[in-house]
Amino acid sequence: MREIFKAENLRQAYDLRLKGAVYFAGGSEILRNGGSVAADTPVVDVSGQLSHEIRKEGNSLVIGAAVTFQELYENPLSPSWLRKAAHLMASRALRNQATVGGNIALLRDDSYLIPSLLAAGATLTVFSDGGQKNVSLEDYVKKGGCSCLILSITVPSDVKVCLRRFARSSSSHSALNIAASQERVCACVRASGIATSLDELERLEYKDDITGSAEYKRYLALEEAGRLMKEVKA
Amino acid sequence: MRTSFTLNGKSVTFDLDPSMRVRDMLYKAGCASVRDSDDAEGFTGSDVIIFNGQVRSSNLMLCFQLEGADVRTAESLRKGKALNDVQEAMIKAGVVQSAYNSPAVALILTHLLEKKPDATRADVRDALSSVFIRDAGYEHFYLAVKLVQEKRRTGRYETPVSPSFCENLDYIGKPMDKVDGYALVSGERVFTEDKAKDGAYTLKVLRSPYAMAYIKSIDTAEAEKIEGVEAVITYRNCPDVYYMQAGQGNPEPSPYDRRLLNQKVRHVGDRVAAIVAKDEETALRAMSLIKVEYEPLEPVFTVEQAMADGAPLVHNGKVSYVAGAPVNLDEYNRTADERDGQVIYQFPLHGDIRHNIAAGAHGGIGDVEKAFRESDAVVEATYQTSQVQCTPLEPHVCYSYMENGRLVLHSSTQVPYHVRRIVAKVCQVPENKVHVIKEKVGGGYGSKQDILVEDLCGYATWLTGKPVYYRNTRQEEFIANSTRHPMRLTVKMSGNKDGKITGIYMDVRANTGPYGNHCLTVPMNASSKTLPLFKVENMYYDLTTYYTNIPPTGAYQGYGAPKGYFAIMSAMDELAHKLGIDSLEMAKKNVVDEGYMLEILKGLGEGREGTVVPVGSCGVKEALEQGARMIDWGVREKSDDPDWEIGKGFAMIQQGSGLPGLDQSNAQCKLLPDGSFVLLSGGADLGTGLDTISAKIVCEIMKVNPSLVSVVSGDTDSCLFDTGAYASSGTYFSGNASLNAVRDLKSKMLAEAALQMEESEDDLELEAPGFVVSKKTGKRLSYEKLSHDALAGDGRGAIIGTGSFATGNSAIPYGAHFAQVAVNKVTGEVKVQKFYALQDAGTPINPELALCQMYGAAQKSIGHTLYEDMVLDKDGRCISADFTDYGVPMVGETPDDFKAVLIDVNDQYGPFGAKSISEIATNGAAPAIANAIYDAVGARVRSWPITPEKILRALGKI
Repeated sequence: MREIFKAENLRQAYDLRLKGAVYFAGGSEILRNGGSVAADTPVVDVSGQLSHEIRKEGNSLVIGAAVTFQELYENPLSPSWLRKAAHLMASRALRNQATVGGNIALLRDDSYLIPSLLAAGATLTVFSDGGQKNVSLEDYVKKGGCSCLILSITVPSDVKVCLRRFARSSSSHSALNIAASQERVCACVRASGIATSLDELERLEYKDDITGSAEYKRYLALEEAGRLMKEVKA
Repeated sequence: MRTSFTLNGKSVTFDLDPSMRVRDMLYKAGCASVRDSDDAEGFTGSDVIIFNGQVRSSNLMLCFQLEGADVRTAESLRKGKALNDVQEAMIKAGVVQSAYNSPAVALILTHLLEKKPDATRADVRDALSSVFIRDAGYEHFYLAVKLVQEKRRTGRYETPVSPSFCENLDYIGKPMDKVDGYALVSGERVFTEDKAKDGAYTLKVLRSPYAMAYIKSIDTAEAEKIEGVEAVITYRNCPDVYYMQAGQGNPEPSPYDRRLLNQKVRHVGDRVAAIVAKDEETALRAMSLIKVEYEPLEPVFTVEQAMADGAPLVHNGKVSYVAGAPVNLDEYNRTADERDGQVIYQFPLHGDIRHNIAAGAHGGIGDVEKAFRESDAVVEATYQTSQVQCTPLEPHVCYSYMENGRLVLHSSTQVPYHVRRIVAKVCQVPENKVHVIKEKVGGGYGSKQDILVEDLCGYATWLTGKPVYYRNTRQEEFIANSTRHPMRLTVKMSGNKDGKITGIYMDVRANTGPYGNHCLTVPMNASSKTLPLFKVENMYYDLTTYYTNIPPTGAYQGYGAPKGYFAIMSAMDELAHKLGIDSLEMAKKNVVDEGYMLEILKGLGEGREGTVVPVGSCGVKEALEQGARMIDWGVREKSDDPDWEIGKGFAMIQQGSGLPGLDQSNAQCKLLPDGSFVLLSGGADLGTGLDTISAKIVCEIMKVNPSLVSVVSGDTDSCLFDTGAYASSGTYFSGNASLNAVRDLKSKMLAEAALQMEESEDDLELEAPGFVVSKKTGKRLSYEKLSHDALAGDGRGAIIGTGSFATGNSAIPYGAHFAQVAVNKVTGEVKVQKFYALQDAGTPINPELALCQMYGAAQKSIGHTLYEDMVLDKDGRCISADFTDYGVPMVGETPDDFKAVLIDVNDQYGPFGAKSISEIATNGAAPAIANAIYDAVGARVRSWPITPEKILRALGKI
């Protein structure tokens, strides 16, 4: 029987996380057969502590961590590239459940959102030891995540992002999920890692897995990087 | 934890384990519509509910989330006994087939139309993105929504759900509500899992971590000590009975090469021990205490590895033959290893287990070598097909118990009578001691032709006397189940500049995996269902099937034909290109016509000599011509994106309708005292509408409406023998048996009526809505009075018609599938823009169901062609053992323009002119798409799945 805690506040949630519990917002990954969390891992329900709101703040868009993929897709404030990224998750039922914060925290190498958010230069507001603070998504990714709780994601409103996902079918894992802005190219390459720049993409150690060979992924990643950079500049 | 929430509009409070999955809670609370097809993978949508106004997967939620929530399940849709309009429209549209997740889809579409009454096709597509439909395809779900919208707007359905056939008949060839549609779409408790009672014991199987190993020792003592463990069954205490799990006619053309459990394990996931315990937790705890010491052996996974000199032997036991043993058998068995057990052939299949050969066959007509020498062009290429899974939404499941000294099994099976025979054999009891009840089958596709769980579950009950429930996990479905045999097919084909094909040679090397289920019959179909389509004088095939250590193979919709067609129609396309001839013209020039003598059949019997017969009704040319018109064959489409090229391809196809000379079906039809009817069919309706066919036959002949007809099928106690629903036999065999039974009943009714009415039988006829009428005197006798008087104290007894059907005649369905694809030259991506499936199914008795089966089967084959793949690691572990990794096609993979077309042909042998429908629809996609890809970008990919990576390699990009 799995232990379930309901967080009364952010501090309590964070403390429970440090004791081995995992944050539970949408639950689509934690409860999924084949997901990354063991079935007996305690969970701390943070859904009541996180924002479901998407709002404009100056030239930025602030997305609450508990915003679901479907909410992100439907919200008129969401830019088209973000709507497109959210809709890469093919299943409507999953989009109704999976949260933006959860998808980032998982740091999956087939993440739907991370390449686009990285390319957009997103920053995260997180809660940890020292209370709330802002970190760049790039730093968060490079550190391999942390025990902190993601509270919101901020992206510039005026950034243009072009993205592509390559998977055998709409609902299978992607071999490559790649996005580009004027500033950079970022990608999730299955079984190989997350690249936060073109340089990293070129130096990535590509590996074989069921989505394709290392050679295929490398070809596709570099080919698409070039194409998306042209597209974003067009 | 006390939890209050709203369930289907009513406030409820339960004491719940907060960590329990909502799906499990709802099912236990009586919401049987909330099913589980993926063990909480969140993929298939069988578990969908509406949670606080949103579509959600209930398996991905825990009960603590329910407090204060509003939950709706499909149970909310029916008001009293009345279905809602979405459920009604789904039945009308023909999409309620195996229907394991039909209630969930009805809920999703109802929810969609509540939020958006004018939902567009795109809205419906998005709504369906959460559900996996394997049986009926997605096309007619759009139609169902359209029907709802029409009826809400105008009070009636305006769009026809299908064409109608047979103008002179009232029910045959016309759309009609499927007889079990109501129960299925509303979520009634009609599946095997619904029959298991509280207190049933759990059966769990400890499975091998090795692809091949001997069990050196197995210690079950600690497991057996646990309270609540009833039995632990291993190779040491299981019956010493050899059998095989394929549900085939007896004697089977498959070797008996296994016991319930064996000392030698032959694939990752093979049975090592079976635990019967009071509940799952106890069984799993016991399983963890079983100590097994293995002696791992080097495995073989491919045909090439299996056929290599000195290859490790998958089976090296003693071989024997029930009939036809070779003279040197003692010498052959000299090197046998006792630990390998035995291999018993019912008759020779050209097997040689000392070389990993399970079966072989060869045969042909004419002189192919001469043809090759004397032709203008010859092509030769090797094609490879992969291991693919049936993926029924309802996994293999069985519930067994003892009653009055007999073993009763509720099963999701295509072959109840083979289940009875094999379970009786394993338990070493006569068949009268076993009663099999086929429940509704939530998807079979061939894998439920094999007796994969009933043998163990039934024996567990027979051994312990306890009621036992067993259900495969989804992972077990992948690793311990029937799959398509991977094959390597080399085709050599020659032709002349005039387009005439002069010779065809097929070398089929099939991989049967660890056991020999269907090791002859499935691979045989690669040739036996392809070569007879060609009017070619020189044809020959060689077939060899090898044992290996991949997960088990067995029956799969289409048997070997989809693989054979991939090879032979690709090869024909290659030959046409080499000769500079349009491949469609080549097809039309070389395809058979009605009356053409099929000499090739002589060498294509399944383990016996085949019978030469002429081609019967045949709509293949019409399918080719109509399909060509629909797709603008010969017109090069231009893409507006320079990276994408567009190409077209096609395949002509055939299959069979059951196995003439081997299959037999039986049925009874009873006139009840009030003049209504019950038809008892041995046939096993898999959700495809076989029971509806039987009901329509009664309605048509007896001239009564469907409300007066009930069909009971697949119950081995109450129904007569039927070989089962496989090899596309349902309509032709079971349907003809029903037809014969009803005709027999009619004859007996007229005889009885003649006596009661004092008329001559010749003057009597049946008249709607249930009268016997004299043409001579105008006298009328109601069925009710006829039956009542027959059953009275001075009556002549119950009026029952009995029908049997066995035949040497074939009713071969034909067709042609066309594809238009766009291929990205830079990324290798493929989009199926158009797919047209045109089939001659004779007279389709249930035309709307037939269309949906064509969509479903074609979509399934598109999946096999482009996406699906069981991938093994170097140790033989399947690393794509869930839906996401395996890659089934969802609504996102449906062709943009998808059409199924029924070619109107009447067959002379089928019931009311009907032939089979579903299996043939799996044959066309692979070659049509492969040829279209070649047409688009010049990349010839000869192996499944045709991935972007393979296309890029063929293009020389990587």
